[in-house]
Amino acid sequence: MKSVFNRDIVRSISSSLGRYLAIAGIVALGCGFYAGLRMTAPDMHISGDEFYDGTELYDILLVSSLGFSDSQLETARATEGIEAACAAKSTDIMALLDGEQYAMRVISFDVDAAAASSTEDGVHVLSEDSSYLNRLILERGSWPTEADECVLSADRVMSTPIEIGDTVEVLYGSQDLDGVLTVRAFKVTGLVHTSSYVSAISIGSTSLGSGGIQQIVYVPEKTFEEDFPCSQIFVKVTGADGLFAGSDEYQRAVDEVVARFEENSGAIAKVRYDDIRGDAQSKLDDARAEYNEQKALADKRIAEGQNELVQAAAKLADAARQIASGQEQYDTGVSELEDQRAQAEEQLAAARKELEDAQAEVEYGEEQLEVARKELAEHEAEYADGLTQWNASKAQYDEALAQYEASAPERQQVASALNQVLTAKSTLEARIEQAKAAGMPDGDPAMIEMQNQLSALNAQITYLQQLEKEFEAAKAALEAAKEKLDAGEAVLRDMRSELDAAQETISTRFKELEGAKAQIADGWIQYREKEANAASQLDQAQKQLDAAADELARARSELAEGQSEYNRGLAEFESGRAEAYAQLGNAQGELDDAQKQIDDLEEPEIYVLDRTSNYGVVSYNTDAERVDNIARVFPFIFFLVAALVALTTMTRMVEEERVIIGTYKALGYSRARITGKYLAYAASASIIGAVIGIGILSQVLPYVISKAYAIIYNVPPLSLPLPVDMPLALLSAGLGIGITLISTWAAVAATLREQPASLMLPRAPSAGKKILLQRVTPIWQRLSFSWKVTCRNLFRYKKRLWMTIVGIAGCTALLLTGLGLHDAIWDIIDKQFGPIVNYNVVVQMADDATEDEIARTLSYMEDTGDVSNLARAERANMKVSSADHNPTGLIIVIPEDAKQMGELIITKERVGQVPIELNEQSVIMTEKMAKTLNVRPGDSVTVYEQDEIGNAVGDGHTLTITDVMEYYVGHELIVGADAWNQNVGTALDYSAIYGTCTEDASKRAAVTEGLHARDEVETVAYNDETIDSYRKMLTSVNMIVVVLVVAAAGLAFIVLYNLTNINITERRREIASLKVLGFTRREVNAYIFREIVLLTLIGAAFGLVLGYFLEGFVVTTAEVDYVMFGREIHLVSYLLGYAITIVFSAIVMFAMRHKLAGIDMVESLKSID
Amino acid sequence: MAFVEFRNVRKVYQMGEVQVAAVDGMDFSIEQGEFVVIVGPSGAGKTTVLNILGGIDVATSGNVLVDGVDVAAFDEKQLTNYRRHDIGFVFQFYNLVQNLTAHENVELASQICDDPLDATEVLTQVGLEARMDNFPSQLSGGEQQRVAIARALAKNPKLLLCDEPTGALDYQTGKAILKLLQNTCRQTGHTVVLITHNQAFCAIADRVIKIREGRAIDVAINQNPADAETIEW
Repeated sequence: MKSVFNRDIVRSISSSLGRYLAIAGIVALGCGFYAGLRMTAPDMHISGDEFYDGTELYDILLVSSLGFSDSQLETARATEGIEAACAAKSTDIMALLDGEQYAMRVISFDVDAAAASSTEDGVHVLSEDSSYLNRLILERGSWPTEADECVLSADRVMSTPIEIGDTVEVLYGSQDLDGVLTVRAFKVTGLVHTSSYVSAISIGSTSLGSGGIQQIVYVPEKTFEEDFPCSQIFVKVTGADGLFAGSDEYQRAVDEVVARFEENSGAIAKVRYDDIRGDAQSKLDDARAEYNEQKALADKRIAEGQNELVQAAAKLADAARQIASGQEQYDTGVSELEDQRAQAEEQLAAARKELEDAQAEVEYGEEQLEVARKELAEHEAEYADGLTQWNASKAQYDEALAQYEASAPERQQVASALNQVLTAKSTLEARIEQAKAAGMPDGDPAMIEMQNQLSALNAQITYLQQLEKEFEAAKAALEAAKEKLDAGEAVLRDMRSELDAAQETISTRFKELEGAKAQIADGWIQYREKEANAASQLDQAQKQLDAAADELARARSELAEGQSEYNRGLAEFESGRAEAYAQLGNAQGELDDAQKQIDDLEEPEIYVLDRTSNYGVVSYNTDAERVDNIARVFPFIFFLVAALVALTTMTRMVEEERVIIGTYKALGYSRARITGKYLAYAASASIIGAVIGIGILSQVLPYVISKAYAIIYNVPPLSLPLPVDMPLALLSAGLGIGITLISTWAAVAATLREQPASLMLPRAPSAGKKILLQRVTPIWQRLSFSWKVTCRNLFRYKKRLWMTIVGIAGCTALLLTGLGLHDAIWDIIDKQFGPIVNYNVVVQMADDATEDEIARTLSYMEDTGDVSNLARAERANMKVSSADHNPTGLIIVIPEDAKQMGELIITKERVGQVPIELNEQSVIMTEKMAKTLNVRPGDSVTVYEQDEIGNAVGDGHTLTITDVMEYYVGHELIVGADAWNQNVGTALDYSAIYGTCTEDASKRAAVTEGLHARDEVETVAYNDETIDSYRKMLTSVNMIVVVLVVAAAGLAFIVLYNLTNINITERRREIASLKVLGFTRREVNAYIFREIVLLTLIGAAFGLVLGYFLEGFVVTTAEVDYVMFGREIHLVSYLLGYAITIVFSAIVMFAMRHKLAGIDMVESLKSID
Repeated sequence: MAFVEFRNVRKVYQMGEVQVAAVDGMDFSIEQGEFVVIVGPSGAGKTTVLNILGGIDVATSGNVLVDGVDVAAFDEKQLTNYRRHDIGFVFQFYNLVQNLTAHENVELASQICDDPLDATEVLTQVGLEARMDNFPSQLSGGEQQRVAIARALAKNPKLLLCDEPTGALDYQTGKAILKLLQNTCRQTGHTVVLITHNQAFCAIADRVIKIREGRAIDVAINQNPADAETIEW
């Protein structure tokens, strides 16, 4: 159809390529996004189906409370509609890997079949063995061959990467591991992918640890004890391979076989029941017989032992007695010896004293003797002196005597002279007297003569008398000297005799002393003899005693030895006896228990489960549905904008070409034909857009999203090119193209109704009008012309206004959604850890830990100084249900001291951040769980215990929720102790210790090691590990954010480009006029772009509102069960979303400057278009 | 020296492989204050000459001296400046900004130059004192052209250039516009250059430049120009 008309179509495309591409672009975005997002879910389903089929994932899983025997496996295999069946043994353990504790599930698999299988693409596992189900894909390493080797899942998030050669050390199991596992440590030989557990977040629940299985340990069958029954039978339904996993056909095919199993399950169960019961009873009977035998034997042994002990005790008593008497004798001997020794010593001492006294006396005598001698000598000398003196005196006397005798004549003369004088005197005196009597006066000279004569006579008398006296004195002196000489002679004589006597005495005394000395010397000799004698006697006695003592000591130590031996024997006997009794008691108990178990044994319940019970498969499907939910809503913006873009663009085009339309009409072309031109234009643009958009985005989007999900699911994403779902592609293209065509038709129809003549006339430019703003004179007058024009223009072209506002709003909304989603996801961590969870470690004590042990662990932690804020609580994995919801799992926390715990878990409402008081009456549920259960404060919930495989058991207990708290990761119900005791009442031992541990890695490692070393500590869980694994998991969503930002940019560019383009082409004349008037480039740009700036600002503001709701929708839709996303978009994100939109707009304006500059004044003004 | 002088001006358009000279060695001069009519048949290069003179087109070669400055050697910035301050343009199709009132359209021009005339005054001068707040769509063709003239005059330009200003107007209105331009020239002393294919306009000009095939073939000085009201066509 090479008509000229068609050529015109082609030319109109090439002459307005920008506008053509704008339509194509927006349609590409709209269709591509719709198709891409909608195809993601099918693609995810397909990759799931591929993976499940490729790895022969079971269709049906049989689980029995009693396990399965081989015969049951055979029975299962014989069921109609079964392609293959295999069984596996499994148990849950707590194990140590790289120093961390993990709850792990040990599962057996067919090692030989695995070793013979091959995989090339990481999705399909080829094996000859059709009964090898749930095939594993070896990622690296090798298959295990020995019982103590294993492969681990490569898809689990561990705190440290697993290396081949690492050891998994079994700590304890959910059941007694004796009789279950043959080894207690595994060497890791490789890492595998498995389709049985595709979720990286949750594998399954267990009674161990924090309640979730964290790793799968695949081991050879021989790792399990032979008697340990298979726990699961996996069944593959015939023909299910060919059906799409999860489709209705598939489910029907599976259901049919499930029904068959359920019908038979009673019979299968009965066989097993009888088997086990019979087996167990006969074993028990054997055991009981053995028990009785053992008991008799033990009793006999005990009696014997007792007897022996009694004898030994008697012997010991005897020996003790003997020792006692020996001791007594010895003691007597010792005291006697002491007496003797004392006596001897006393005697000797007396003798000694005597001797010493004597000696002292002798020495004293000698001393005195010496003194006497000395005195004697002195007296002798005195005597000699006296004698000499006397002799001299004698000689003097003799001389004086001689002299005196010689003086005798003299004396006679004197005497006669005197007599004469005296007579003379007396005569004179008588004459005087007579004279006197004669009365002669005194003065008479005779008288005076006579008186003078008398005085002369008196002087003669005195002189003669003096001489006479001198003679007398000499005679007396001689007589005195004579007397003295005589006395001296007598004294000397006396002296002599005394001296002689003393001489005599001294010599006598000396002789005596000599005699005494000789006696003393004799005495000493005797004394020494005696002393020596006594000493030797005593020594001998002592020796005898010592010998006796030695003997006693020997006897005593022998006795002690005997006693301790006896004690040992006794203790041994007692412990042996206790042990024996305990063993016997235990055995008795065990036997009784076993008997009770046998008696209580119920017919096993056989659960027939299909893949809808596989957490990984189900949550993978749910997530795919989530994407689909978003996909249904999200592209709405793009379609709306596409419609607006098409409408404005085509309206503009029709207006530009009205003369041509008029001409065609005048030439006689039909309306339909002319409309056809524009429809063809729009159709070709939108078809090209749709094909390109769908072609690219149906690959890119599912790829990106699958990649993101590949972080949390180990389902291998499909490789490119991805399959294109034709119905979806057609639907999407149809929507995009349809919308464009309808808009185009709407734009063309109005114009075509006009008459050709009026079409030929240039259409009056749309009139300027007064706008509302103009009435606000104060503002209006302040505006420059450019602003006035801008304001008037905005209201002149309403379609464009809406296109731009919706487009820009869409762009901002997408950006805000992306950024908000980012906030929401990172808030999970940022708002949870710190603002709410203020602890970072929980130490769970073993079930059987005593109060004492818990207290000791608590004080150990306190003493390290590295853990603070310690608080105890009861922590249990339980189930909870509400009126609207079936039981679902959560963690119940019952703080020992609510106030204390209130510092570790900050309870508050999210909205308004209102603090919630945590007290003993509180029943506080975390927000996400409250929403799931649809409960509010005041509503009731029922809590149940759960069994090994996580089913709610019992009738449960009702609790009334008091508050709902902000909480992001996991689900908890915090119950005050009083509330618990009143409503539930099960015993609380507060066996979990919460605390805040130092961030210091080495100190923390030391604390952890110390805790692990304590038997009563079961697990030590740091929530930093949780944070890390969440961080990793959540980075996946960043990819989606990138997709959204790119889409937003695309939207912004197309809309703004289109708007600018229309503005410029439509207003060429105006722009040219301005240029002619001498407007500079910058002024012209401002004149035109001001409008875009204003629309961008307004559109972006609307976009923030739209984005708020869109983000809310996406967040609630995309949220996974276990976490609650942040509900707030950060202020920064609002600002950023707004700013980025403005940046996009600025980029478009920058790019369009050239077009504006390129407007040629001459051409534009030549004539009216 | 003349106020405006064209010296051997050429303007060559590249039309595919063919070169077409719209102006091919144009030489003429104009004195200050003159009312000049450039007349010639369609395609003679009248508009090109006016465009080059008005600085919205550039000569391929030659000199265009305006008040002693060679406009032909101007770069884009200088040209913008030249248009802004020295030139007033009046077009056949008015080229008013639809979204601005008459008064605002005039202000649009006066706002950007150094020594503008008062917009209200100019509009009064062109007889539009009553229609100042009307939008172009609310005005008749003649009124719109008056606004265009007022817009050009408000800049107080050295040269007022008019490209077939009456082309889209009826006879009477056209005459009125011519009268307005003539009066403007006489009363304000602006140099007015008007191009037309209508020979009748020659009578009212001070100087008539006849153009054919890109050359000025005749320049005539009219000693006694007629009044615009008296001419007939």
